[in-house]
Amino acid sequence: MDRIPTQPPSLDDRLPSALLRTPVSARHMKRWTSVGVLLVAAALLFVPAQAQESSLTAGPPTRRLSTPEPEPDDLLAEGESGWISERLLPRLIPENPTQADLGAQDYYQICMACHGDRGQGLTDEWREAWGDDSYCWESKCHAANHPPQGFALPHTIGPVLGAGSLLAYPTALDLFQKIRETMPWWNPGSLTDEQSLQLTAYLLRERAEMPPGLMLDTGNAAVVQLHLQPTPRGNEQQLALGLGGLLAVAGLAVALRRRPPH
Amino acid sequence: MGGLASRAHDERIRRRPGFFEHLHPPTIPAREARFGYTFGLGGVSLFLFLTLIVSGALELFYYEPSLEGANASVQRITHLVPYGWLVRGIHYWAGQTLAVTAALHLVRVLLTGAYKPPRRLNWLLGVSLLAAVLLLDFTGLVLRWDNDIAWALTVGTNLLRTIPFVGEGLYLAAVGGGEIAGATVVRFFGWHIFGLVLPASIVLVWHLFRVRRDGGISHRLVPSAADSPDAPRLPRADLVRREAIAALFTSVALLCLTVVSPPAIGARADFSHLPSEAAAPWFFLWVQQLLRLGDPLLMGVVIPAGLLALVALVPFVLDRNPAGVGSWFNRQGRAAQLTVLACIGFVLALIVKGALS
Repeated sequence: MDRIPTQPPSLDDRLPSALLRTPVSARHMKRWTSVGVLLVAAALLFVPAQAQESSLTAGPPTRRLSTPEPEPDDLLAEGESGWISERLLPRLIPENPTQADLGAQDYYQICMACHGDRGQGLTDEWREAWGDDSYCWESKCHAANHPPQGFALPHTIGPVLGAGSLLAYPTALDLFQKIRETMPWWNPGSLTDEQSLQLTAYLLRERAEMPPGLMLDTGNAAVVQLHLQPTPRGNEQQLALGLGGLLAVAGLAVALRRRPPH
Repeated sequence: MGGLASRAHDERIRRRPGFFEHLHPPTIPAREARFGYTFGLGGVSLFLFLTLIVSGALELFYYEPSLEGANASVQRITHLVPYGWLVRGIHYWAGQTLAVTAALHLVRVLLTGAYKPPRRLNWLLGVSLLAAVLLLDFTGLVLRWDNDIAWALTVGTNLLRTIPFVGEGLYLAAVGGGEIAGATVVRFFGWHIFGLVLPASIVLVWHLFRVRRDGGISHRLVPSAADSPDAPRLPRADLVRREAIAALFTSVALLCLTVVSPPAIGARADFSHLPSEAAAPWFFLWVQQLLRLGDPLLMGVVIPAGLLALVALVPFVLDRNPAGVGSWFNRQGRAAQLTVLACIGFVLALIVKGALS
């Protein structure tokens, strides 16, 4: 049962209860906890810069037209028990997290194992990042004849980011309902409305389809369309203020104009 | 000679007043045209009303009057339609500002005795316009169909039910059924767009017509050195110019308010789970405060209607003396001034109390 890529192997002490519902024996949990603490400490010494630059934690969203290949230097970090992929390390959360920031945390903790760190789906490349834990089905943990603690996992899990992804979901409400009702795979319906909205907001942000300044809720999710980039609002505000300035100048000009003789 | 006559004819045509000038009297008394007499409140209110018509018409292109579509379409206007947030913000702030400028205009008319004969009918028209503005603000707010309006709509429509004999009928007319549902959105849309705007527009035109018919802007009737036929008067071109300045600066204010404080829009209203705290819109906070004091019929219907009737009847009951027109705080109208100011102070105190609680 130690070959299930449904959790980052070195971080059990930081994992939420949702992830800990995955079948991991108590003995292994204890061992992984101690290993994980040391591994995280070592990893943070070596890779803070890259961790902070993660797209999941900072900066404006960028459109991902295709799933990028992993960079060579983000593959490995050294822990006490050996080398693991940096891509499995936890994401830092900003001081004042947005809805999408919280969704990024939920994604890391609940979704990333199956859907990939870049939303690429369960690709071979992504499974390889798990090292010894990359054999989802051969280990029987996720095969049809899995033990009671395991669960069957589809062999194909498609991307949620990038071109051609999520085509079945025209609006944020459709995506929210899908997440709310069918995710996570091993415990459908266990996510709250709030978590599901956060996850939807995160995915929309990563897809550059989140209207700026919008707090996604079940009321407005129906009008947020996927596969369409929202109109940038910064220019509109500047234009509105510019129009106000022009009107003010016009008003002053009329007020100060010399009156014609009556 | 022929050429000279033709040029003179052309010059006469050129000097004819244009469309906007023709809407005004040829001249107005300079004393009453001072900013310190009118504060431009009537003109600004008219401009805000026209702004509401234009911005509201633009919103109609996207608004969907249905249970499923109402809130979603306002969200769409706010977050997705190009410049939708701007149009909605201007519509919202023009509505809020109009409630203030119309009320202040009423106070100015009261304190300068401009309601006295022959302007008593116009006073009634003005009071009815103020009531229409408040109802338009309320129905417009309901069209957002978010959780912020859930309490206000529930309480407001239930108040109608407390009225003896006609209450149930009024509730049915407002809500469109036995309870708030999809038909309610359509009803409020109908009331907002047609049932209130159309009569208000007609009364507004009537109000403006009466201003001209009653002798133009109110002014002193007793001749004095300053009010003799030789007293200075302004041509209408000056009046149009002042109106243009007021319109431009009002537009600037609306734009700034929209950018700095855009109107809120929450999640779709859920009437099965009303918010724990009742919250009326600011202009009806005083009614909400009254309702906390006792019987809904008395506090929520009789007292507000009584206050409105008292204000409406000022020139017929409280001050029938035609003297004092055009003078701030004229002696003849003291009883009316004190009574109405006391009513307004009472309402304002309740609004402040409601806002602070």
